Amino acid sequence: MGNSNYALQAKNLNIYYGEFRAVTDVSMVVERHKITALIGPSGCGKSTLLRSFNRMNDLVPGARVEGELLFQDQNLYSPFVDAVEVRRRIGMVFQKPNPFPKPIYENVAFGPKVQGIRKKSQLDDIVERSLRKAALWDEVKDKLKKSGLELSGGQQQRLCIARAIAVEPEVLLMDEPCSALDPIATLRIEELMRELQEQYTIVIVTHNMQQAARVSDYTAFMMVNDKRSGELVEFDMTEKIFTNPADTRTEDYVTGRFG
Amino acid sequence: MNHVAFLNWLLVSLYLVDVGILSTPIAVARKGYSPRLGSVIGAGAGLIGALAGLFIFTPLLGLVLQLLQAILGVFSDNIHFADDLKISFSLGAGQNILPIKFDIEADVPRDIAFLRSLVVGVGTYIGGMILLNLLWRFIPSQGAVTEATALRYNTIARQVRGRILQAHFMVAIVIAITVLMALMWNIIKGTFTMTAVSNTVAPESLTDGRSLGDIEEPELAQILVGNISGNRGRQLIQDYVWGVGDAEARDRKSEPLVEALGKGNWPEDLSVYVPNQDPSQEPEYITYQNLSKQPDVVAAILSYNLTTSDLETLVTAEVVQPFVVATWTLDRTLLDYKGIEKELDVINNSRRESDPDWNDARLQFRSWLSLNFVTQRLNAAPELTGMRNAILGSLLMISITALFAFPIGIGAAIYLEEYANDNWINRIIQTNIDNLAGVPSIIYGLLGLAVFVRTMRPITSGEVFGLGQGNGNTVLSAALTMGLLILPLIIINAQEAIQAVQPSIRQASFGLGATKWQTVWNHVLPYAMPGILTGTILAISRAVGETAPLVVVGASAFILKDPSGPFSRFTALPIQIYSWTEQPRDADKAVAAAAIILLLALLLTLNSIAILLRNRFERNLGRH
Repeated sequence: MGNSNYALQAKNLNIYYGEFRAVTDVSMVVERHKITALIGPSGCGKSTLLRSFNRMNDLVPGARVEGELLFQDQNLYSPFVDAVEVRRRIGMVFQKPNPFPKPIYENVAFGPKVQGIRKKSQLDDIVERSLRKAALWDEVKDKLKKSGLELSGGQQQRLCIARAIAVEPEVLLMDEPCSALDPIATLRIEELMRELQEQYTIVIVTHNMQQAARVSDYTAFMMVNDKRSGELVEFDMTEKIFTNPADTRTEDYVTGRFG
Repeated sequence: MNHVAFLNWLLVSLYLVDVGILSTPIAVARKGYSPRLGSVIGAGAGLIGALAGLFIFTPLLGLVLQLLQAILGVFSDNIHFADDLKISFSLGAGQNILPIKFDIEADVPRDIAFLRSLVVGVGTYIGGMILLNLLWRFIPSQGAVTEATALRYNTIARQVRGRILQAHFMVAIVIAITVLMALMWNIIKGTFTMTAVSNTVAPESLTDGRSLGDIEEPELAQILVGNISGNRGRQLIQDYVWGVGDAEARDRKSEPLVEALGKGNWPEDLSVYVPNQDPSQEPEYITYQNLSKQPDVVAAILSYNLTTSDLETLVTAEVVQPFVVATWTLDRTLLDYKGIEKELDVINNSRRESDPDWNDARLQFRSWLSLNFVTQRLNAAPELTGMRNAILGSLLMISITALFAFPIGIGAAIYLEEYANDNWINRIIQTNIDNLAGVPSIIYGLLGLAVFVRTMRPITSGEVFGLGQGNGNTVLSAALTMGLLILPLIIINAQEAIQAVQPSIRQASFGLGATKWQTVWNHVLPYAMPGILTGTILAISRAVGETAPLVVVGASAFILKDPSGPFSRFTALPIQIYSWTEQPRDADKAVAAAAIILLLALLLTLNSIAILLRNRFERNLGRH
């Protein structure tokens, strides 16, 4: 492959927690400026796979990854790659909104600050730009000194997105970003993803098949095999997965027969 | 019946009454009676059962045990455990009114007394439980009640139970508060006392029977100077008129005093020369040096500069020298003033017999806790002592302790929580820290003595810095020892505070490309800080009040100088409390009580500062 259209390329990725193989032999690509959705029943390893994309699994004691994950033709799991650097290039938004209990400004400015940006004017710029991109600026511009915890759930999640894009990542990983939100806030986030798509590549894990169908360009369907390990069943254009899946298991899942 | 047995009976019957109150409402509600009445009946049944147990089942149990002894006696002659459980039913005056002979006689061995009280307890319990079970089981049913009534009764029964259980917790709180109040009252009543004050020199003898208050300044000054030494008089001038320190006074001792004091402080009609000198020589100025031989000049200057009341106070302190003969606590002062007066007469009469110059002591109310008590230095006389050096010693020590233990404790906690792998070395370290928190403080004192006072003497005495007196018993040694003592507490508390920081916060930080240290420094530590500070408050409070390690590392019981730095010898408030309670006189105990109040005030002050700090941190996190 080696196509520059791919932001991420997983080749025979196996993820272990100690002796347990949580994800088996996943090979897939994430195309640039597209939204790729990971769907599947609970416990099928889709969050684990997502977290392996920016080496967040390194933080779990005993977690280990085999296989290759190419990012700009560089294997992220080669011993010469610094996990901290990876996370600066591939950002993450979590399932539950987790703003820092700090002022909104500090929440967004933290990422640039740890990368060494100290100038106030530059930080001000970044904060405003990120909050605008996350469609939150108009709501919070008068209360940047207020704690991030004082926002509503949907606003908090958008703050987390603003925080993630403040470090200008190339890929944005979203781990069920709407599961803790109400329908209206969910809609806002989905619209936002469509807007962000123009600048970022997005990978999203979701439980909600309608959401995957609505927002994503590509969909990967995962399931556990008989060894209770997650496998990639099918990966294709979203339209194809939801209308004409190749695998019967995919069809059963997307039509709601199980899961 | 002996005390132990009675107490045993009381506890068991209280328990039975409790069981009756708690369980009867539900039992009677099931049978269709009102649960409220049930709780009263249950209490009564518990009590009656307890009495029945005492009078019926306790003797029965004694009989059974004796029977058992008789049976076992067939096999061995050495079995006598029931010998002392003889039953007597005598109810005559002065006789045992209870079925088993329980006496608190000295010749009753402990094991027998214990066996008897055990028999009473078990017998009472059996009696009470039998009666209560009979009550619950054989209460006649009211017949069928409607569904609604049953529901109502059951609800009420549960509410009654709940309220009674609540009352138990209330009782626990009331007991705890009462004990604390009793403790506080004990300290307060020793601090504000009636005192009997006698004078070393009777004021009347100084003034030919007139009262001190009626005398004019010049004469007061004459009386004062006439009854103290020349040097003391000179010292008074230095302290009250000149107002310079000893060193400056020494440097300027040959200067004409009139210039040293300044014209305004020198009476105009007073000669500035030493009187009666040889006219052939140059006139000699009165200087600080020769002032001690000029009592008239001292008197004139004092009378010119001081007010009547100042002079009166000086005469009292310097000449009359009142001292406390006896003290009576606040409760006796308020309730038994007549009794105090009688005791005072007894004291005065007996003293007068042995000492013809005895000046009768008079009653005077005194608060031992006063401004002077805080600002004056230690003095061997309880009437005059203050606690300034002890307060300063405690403050200095605790500051160094905090400076030493706080950063190290937090550092250790961060290492253990964020960096340490789960291997056997770290597990051993963790276990040790947990156990060290429970080691008695005297052990830390011994450790401090061996390590800080002895081995590290060159450092702790300040020798390597060219300071101190070469002695290891310094503030620094004590502070480091206290630091070791509270280190485990700080570490454990900080660990818990760090654990309480949500993992999602750490993930968010890592997800933004922060390193471990950036995550710890920017997020974990700030969010854990309120909890860490709370733990530190508790730890420091403990260190302020600890006495045993101070005794061992050699804090001085009596010292006049204020601590001048980490390398000076010192004393601390707990040491003072300890040493004043050791002294024999009433007044010494009063000083100890006042020092306890000071220590409590110091603790509360430190705690409030720390709480304010913690609240600031919490506000910064936007939780308020």
